[in-house]
Amino acid sequence: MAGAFAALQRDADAALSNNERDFILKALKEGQRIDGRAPFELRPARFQFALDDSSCTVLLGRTRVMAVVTATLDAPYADRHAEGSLRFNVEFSPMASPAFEPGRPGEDAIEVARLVERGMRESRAVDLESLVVLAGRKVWHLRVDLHVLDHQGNLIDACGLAALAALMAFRRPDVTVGGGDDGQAITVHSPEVREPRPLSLHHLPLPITFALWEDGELMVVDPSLKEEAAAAGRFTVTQNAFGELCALQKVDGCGLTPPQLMRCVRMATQKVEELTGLIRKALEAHEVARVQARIRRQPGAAGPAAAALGGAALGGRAVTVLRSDQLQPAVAAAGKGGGGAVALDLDALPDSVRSMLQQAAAQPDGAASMSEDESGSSSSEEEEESELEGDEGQEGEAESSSGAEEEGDAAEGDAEMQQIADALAAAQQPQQQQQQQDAAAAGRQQAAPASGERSAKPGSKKRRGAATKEGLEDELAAIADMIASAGGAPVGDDSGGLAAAVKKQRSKQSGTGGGSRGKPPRRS
Amino acid sequence: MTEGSSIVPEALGKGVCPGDVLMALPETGVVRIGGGVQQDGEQLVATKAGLLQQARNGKLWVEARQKRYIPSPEDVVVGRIIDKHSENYGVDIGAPFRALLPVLAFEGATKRNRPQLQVGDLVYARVESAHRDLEPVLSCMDAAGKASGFAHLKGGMVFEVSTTHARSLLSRPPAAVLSALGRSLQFEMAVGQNGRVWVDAPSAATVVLVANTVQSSEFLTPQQQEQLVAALLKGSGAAAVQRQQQERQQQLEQQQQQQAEGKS
Repeated sequence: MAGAFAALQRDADAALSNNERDFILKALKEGQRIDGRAPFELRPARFQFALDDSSCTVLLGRTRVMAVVTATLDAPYADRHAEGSLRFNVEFSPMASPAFEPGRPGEDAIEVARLVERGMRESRAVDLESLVVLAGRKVWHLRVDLHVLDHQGNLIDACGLAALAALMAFRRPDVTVGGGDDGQAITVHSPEVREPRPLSLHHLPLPITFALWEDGELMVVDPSLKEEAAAAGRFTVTQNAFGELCALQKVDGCGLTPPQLMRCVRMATQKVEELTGLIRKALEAHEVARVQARIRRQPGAAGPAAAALGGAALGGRAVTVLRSDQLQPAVAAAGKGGGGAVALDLDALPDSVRSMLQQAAAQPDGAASMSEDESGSSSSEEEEESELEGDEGQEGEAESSSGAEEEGDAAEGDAEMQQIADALAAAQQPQQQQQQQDAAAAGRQQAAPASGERSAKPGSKKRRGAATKEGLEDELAAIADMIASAGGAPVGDDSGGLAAAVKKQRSKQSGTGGGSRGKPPRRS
Repeated sequence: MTEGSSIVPEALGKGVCPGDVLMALPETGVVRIGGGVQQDGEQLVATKAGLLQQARNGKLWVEARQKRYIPSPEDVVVGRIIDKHSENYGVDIGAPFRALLPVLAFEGATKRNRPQLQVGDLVYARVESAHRDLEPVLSCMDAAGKASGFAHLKGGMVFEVSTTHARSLLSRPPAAVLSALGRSLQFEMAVGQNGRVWVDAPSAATVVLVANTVQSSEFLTPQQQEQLVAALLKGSGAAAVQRQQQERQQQLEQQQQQQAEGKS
């Protein structure tokens, strides 16, 4: 006996035959779905992020939705002085389904937009107060445009996923307030000058939709197009991974009893955890790709070698290994060429050379170290920061399970600052060592093993000259360590002799050099 | 006198692109052309991208993978009823126009004895006429007035494939995927040249398995299709049930034989 409620009369219904409708129900009673999934199985979700962090395309099975986030700086709304704003707009593109007409969004599009908005805005997922630049005068207004590109069922979940993933990947331009006539001039920095900042998200809400039959007795998660059309009712739960309910949506169609509703909510918790995990993984992979894209754009980048480092940059520099007798001419050439970096076996160097290196490094804009112009040096900062974010990505793998889930993403902003501070401290040594190497840059480029070693250490990249004055001894120690560890691997084509020479020199001080990891070398 | 069938263009069986010259028209004789081929002065030119085929009667046509169905007479199609009028049904066959199925185009139908079809029902019908500017007209009888398989399809499930794949499913010998499935499973299938395929089987699992297998097998070679079917059947419950049934039947037959021998 069919339920008291008529079947949902939507456009998609007209396209479904009686046979299909009956078969879907019959198969569900045997626990079978027409695409072969289990009743509570989601379709595979895939994410593609744009390299400029402005958009994310989500594929939920064959349903495809693209979310684009834009931020504009403007006056706040009159009733919300100390907050930015967040708006959602959903467009059903006619290429997504024959049922979609171009023009203004229809009822269905507006329903989806309202649902996604309710889930995110009313649960305060995005920290709007952090979007304030000048209280009462200038705040960031965020706008998320969701474009439905292919409709194969369950647009609500796909739009919610896309919106969340895009907001998590989004980076807004960095802003400084200060200077100008009244000390309140706002400078918006372009991404090349200053690393853009991520949004602060307290938690990650996601909608999960259920299709219902038989007055709620039969339900499936993530309905496909035909299942949606054949369903007697539909129910959406928006939750975050902690099981906190953000929104519920139940409109027309067959009803649900309270126990069935609780069943849906419990099921949704599991699914949201699954999906949140997937988003995080996709974002981590995206971080790596972002940093790689930046490396390739830097001048003098050694393509394959640097790109093969998987995100931990050398600041776009390749690594060269020289014998000590090649050092003098190399240092001389460094002033002109710049473009390669050098890994040195400093313990084998005569003291005179070492002191010369120290001098060269001590000059802030000296020899080859920062042989770039401002854009280069500012890009180094940017690289450094993107580096650090890449680090956070790596460290984040370990942390995310503990830190983020305990504190929730509310603390993400603070956690990031902490991580940045840690990474900076830890990275000081290798950075300065890189600095030194630039000072003695040479023409030849080899690289993988030594650079491979250094990629294991966080953030070995250039820094401004100001850093060189600190702890040169430590730098040299770090370089020595690095050479010691790198020297084990063959260095390159014509370097059979080189590797041997380096090893020979090191074996001379085998007593001290080999065991000197982390300890300063003998002082001169 | 040259007949169409004796002229074999070079590009037969190969891929052609729109604008490719297929062959020059012979001075005398008849050349039959089908979809995707056009006469351009003294030449025949392809207008679609696809494989050049030649039917047994010499008709030259280009087979391209497309989902949109262009009706042509004598095609068999699976249609869905969307309208009911006094004289005919409006049927959706995936063509640019809605098709008409006269109420009396069923075997044994008279004004007093009409078929009981509802909106949303599926029918297996034959395209009787399909002028490109008019609505196609269907019939649930063959030319002689017999039903011969055309009827209202009850139960089962319908799914979509491209028109090319549907044509390969209808070919003789049947596509490898169908023979492979047919060896281990029992099911009923009606393939429409409009890209719609209807399947029915005793258990829903079998129907789902057959539907998904046929849909996934479009771009596979016959060997790959066999492998796909073998892999799917291994892991599926539907085949297991049928195998058990077959085994039981065999056991029964053996027992009967033994009894017969025992008696004699």
